[in-house]
Amino acid sequence: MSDTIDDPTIRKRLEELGLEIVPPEHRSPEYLAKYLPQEIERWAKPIQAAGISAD
Amino acid sequence: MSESPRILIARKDLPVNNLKEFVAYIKANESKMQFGSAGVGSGTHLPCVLFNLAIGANVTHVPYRGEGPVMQDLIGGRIDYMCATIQSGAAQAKEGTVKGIAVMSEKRVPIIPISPPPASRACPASKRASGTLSSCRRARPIRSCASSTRR
Repeated sequence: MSDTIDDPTIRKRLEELGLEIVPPEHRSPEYLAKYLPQEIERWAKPIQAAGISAD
Repeated sequence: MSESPRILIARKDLPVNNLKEFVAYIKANESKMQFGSAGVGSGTHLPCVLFNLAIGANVTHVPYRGEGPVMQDLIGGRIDYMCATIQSGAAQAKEGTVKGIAVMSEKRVPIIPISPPPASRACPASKRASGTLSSCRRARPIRSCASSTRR
């Protein structure tokens, strides 16, 4: 899949559809393990500011 | 695997033409304004929350059931702005049914050649609004491949 989204034709089509392809080093399970906690921290502020809760 | 930015769009008769004017207008009229989203906590709600926080504006949120109805009301001028998914928002902005204000991305995206500066330059906090994540380990059977889109 990683090879496929780097194919110039596929990539061009995805970008025309409004997607941004992340760099290869951001596609590993290891990166995901780092990325998720960062995202949780990043979104905590606006979520708390807006008073949103899961119910 | 990929990210998909939000696009900040406003009702077409809002008297602003770029992000700077938009921010100034919100600050002057925040108590009278409303922004819409596809629902509380959704991928079209949080980017606007982040944007409002970044510019220090307190605007009433109107949650809808899905993005379609929000877009209808934005086109109809019943709400003032929303942070739409780039695919639906760019299509409407190009048609002129809504006003495209800014793409919430670090770089210009081919889907819409919007001329105002990207939101990320004015408020870095609002970049990278939503990601599409596909995880698939080679060793697993194909049906366990998960693809999830946060909206």
